[in-house]
Amino acid sequence: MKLKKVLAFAMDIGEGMLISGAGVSRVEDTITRICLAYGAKKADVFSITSSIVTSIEDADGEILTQTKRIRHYKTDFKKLDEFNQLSRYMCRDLPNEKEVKQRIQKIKTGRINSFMEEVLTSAAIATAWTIFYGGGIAEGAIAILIGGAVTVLSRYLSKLTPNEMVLNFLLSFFVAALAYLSARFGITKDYGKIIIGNIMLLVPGVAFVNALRDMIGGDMMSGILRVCESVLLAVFLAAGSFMALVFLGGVWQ
Amino acid sequence: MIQIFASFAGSLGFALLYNLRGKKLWTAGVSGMISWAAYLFVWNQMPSGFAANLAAAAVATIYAETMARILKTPVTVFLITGIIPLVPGGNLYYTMNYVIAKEWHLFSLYGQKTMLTAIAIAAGIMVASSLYGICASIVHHYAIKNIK
Repeated sequence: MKLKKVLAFAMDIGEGMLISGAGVSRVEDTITRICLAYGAKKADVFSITSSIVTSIEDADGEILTQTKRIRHYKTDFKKLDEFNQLSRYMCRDLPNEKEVKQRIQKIKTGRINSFMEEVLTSAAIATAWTIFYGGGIAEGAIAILIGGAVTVLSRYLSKLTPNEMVLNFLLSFFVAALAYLSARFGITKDYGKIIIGNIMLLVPGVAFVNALRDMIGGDMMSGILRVCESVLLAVFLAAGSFMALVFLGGVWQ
Repeated sequence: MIQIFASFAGSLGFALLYNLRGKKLWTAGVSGMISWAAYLFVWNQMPSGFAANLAAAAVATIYAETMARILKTPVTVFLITGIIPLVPGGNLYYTMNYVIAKEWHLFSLYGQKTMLTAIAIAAGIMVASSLYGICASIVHHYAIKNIK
């Protein structure tokens, strides 16, 4: 297989892993290994959370470079796992171009959660955390409804909002407002527990854990970028529910 | 007891949401349960939020690293689901709540708690995975030596 093609495939795999929630150091490692396995003399990969740059040098000393810009993330551990398996397989068995192309295509178009599944799962998650933080049966029942509604709403709002922060602000505003209203109508007293349970759906856990893993791998820059991202998101989450409670509390006093 | 079960269900839910299936799904659910059990255990020995979070994050990391090697999966998969029960979502909410109630003393108390929890989790993951990396490379080194 030509080195040019190898670079393109390695970048495809790296991009897929970064989008599905891998740490930066793992992406760099994977691309380097694949390129070296197919006979590149040198492979220099630099990646941050939103971009990957790779330069490889072939046996004749010719240098190839490719850049990828990543604009959105969608955490998907199945894809991440499969890309990881594929890269291991490529380094070990050096499959030919056609096979690699097929397998990448297969992973990219693989099974994803349907919308309905996503809604039901989020409802279950919200309920589990509401009970975890000490909610009772009534709180759990309301959390089911709100958790499902959050996912439906986020699907449509994400097309309208300019960035992740505004989206999170609006969603947490919505969560707190609904929980507060349910308390107003006398269904429950403990609306705080419902808010916490649903906020867990929005908390940037993946970004935070990946930030730490990047820093352990010696990748300070990506680590700092991701920590900033997750702290900002957390502040916007708090601000969203704050606004809802102040606003509604003011209206009904 | 309810909490341990709920943490299992919650972690399982996240794994499901992130499209994990089969044996890996259950492993991910158990990681959340183990980290919360570790938290409760340390809390009973020594009631300090910082120490408990640190220990729980360390336990979750060791579990995730081990399972990732057994099942040949990136560590992130099990680490994220293991850390989720420790995330200070509750403290964040109470911090915000006390701003609304204008209780500035309690606000700063809970704000500090939230920050400390985040720092403890970070420290736990960092310490445990660095140590695990060192141990793994020592074991690896001797394994290769024996083969030769």
